[in-house]
Amino acid sequence: MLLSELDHWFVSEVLPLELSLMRFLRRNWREESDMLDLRQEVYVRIYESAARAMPDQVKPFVFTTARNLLIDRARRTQIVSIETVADLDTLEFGMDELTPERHAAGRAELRLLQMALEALPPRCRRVVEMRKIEGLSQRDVAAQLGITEDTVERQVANGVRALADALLTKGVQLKTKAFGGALAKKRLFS
Amino acid sequence: MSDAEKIEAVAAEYLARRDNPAWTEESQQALDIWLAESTAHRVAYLRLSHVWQRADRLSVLRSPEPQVNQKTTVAGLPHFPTQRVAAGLRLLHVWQRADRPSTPRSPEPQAKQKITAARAPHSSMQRVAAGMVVAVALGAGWFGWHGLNEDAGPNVHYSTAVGARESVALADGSHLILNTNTRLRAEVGKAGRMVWLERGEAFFEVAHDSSRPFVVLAGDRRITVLGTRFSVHRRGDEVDVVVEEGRVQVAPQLAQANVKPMVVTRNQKVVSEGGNVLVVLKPAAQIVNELSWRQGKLVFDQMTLAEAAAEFNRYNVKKIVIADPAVAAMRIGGSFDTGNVVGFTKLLQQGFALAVNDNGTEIKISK
Repeated sequence: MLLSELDHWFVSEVLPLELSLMRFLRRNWREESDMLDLRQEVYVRIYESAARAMPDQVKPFVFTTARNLLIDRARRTQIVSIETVADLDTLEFGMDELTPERHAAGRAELRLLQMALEALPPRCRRVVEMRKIEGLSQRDVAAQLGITEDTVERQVANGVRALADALLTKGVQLKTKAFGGALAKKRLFS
Repeated sequence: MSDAEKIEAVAAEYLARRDNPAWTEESQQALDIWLAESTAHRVAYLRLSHVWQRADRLSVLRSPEPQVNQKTTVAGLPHFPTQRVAAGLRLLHVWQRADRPSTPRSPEPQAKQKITAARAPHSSMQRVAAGMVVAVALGAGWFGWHGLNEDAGPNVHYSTAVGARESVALADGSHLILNTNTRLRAEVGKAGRMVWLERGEAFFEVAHDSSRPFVVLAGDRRITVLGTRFSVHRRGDEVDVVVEEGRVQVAPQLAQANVKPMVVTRNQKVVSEGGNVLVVLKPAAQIVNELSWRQGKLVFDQMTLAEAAAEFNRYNVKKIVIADPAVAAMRIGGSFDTGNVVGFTKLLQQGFALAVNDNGTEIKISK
């Protein structure tokens, strides 16, 4: 797949907001089972709207889209299941939505990836490690582990979904604070 | 499985297949068609392929020694990660190695770093600070008030005796009025605000703070608000919520598939018991009446005598007893001080020609 400019924009500007977006959705919509569908719908709206006209500022655009979606949903469902429908109409964006986005870089990013990797189930993790760290092809991974290529493929599919959840949705960032900070400082002063 | 999950599963399948060198032109065409089918497909695929590409950076962790002949156990619990259990020092070490220009396989991450630096010309210090902000925000929001105890504030108990009424200010600026014979516990912390209504009735004037949801747990109900004025009355399992201003959500405390959360707005009253929930829209005046206990008043508007007596009995140790159903069903109106049972019964005597018999422990009303 060739990435269009729009795709690049989506990946580099919108996806890093996923953690904040999910927090926003969770805070304002009670049904946990709706979360993935809501996220998808927000992304679709963002992508399609940006295809027509690129927004000036990404963050306000993303959260306004999310809010409008929740309002639409709330109006459609008669029995509303919103945590805080309370003030949806006049919903204020919290600190999280207003602060500029941080991109993990360098070592912090590597640490994030590592933590996400370590959270995978053992076999899945091993497959991803062999692919990404050791740089083996799926075929070689299959041969070394004595499993079929189909199994490797399945583990890669599971792995990438779990990594996406860990990196984008769950924000493994939390625990990297101290470590990344210490590293960054060390680098500054050395 | 939700719609989004199904799409994500298909996207992951395509991605994993494409990750195999056996990927063919036909497969690519199939993928292109799938991607063009809907934006949902495209964004799901973009999301996963972005992450999978990001994971390429892990290659800097590759040990210099060739791994090819190393044995891996069937259980798949390899030597590799266990060696990295104390990842800190090792990681630092690896990175220093990766930073050296001569290190193989490091140009890619370095290039990426440059791009990041060009886009966001922050110093490392600023990034550290930003990192802290994330962590704090996460502590408050992600784990939320139901998770971290360290974010919970002190636990304070409040209670009132029969006939008493008390006003309480919470640390967040919210204001509570406890009605007669009420007991509750409040916990106002950094991350959230919780009140457990153990029994009785309380009126809540909640200070607006969207980062800290205000939750009232009463019986098996969970009432969630941002900032509003409402009251909760618990009688065993029956929980009534009256909203004077704003909106609140009433849900079972434990998510149940068959009981949907319900949003109660201004001038509505919700009566719930177990799975049964009833929402009543009331005229504003009637809501004012229902909440008149805050001024120590009971306001009856076309209420049956039985209901009125039950109301009085909440505030008084000496209970009114009405044995005759015909008498109990009589409708009355009026306004009384909660403690003024004598005035009330006198009115029944004079106005309705009912017999009032006070034996010292009970007041019996009959024809």
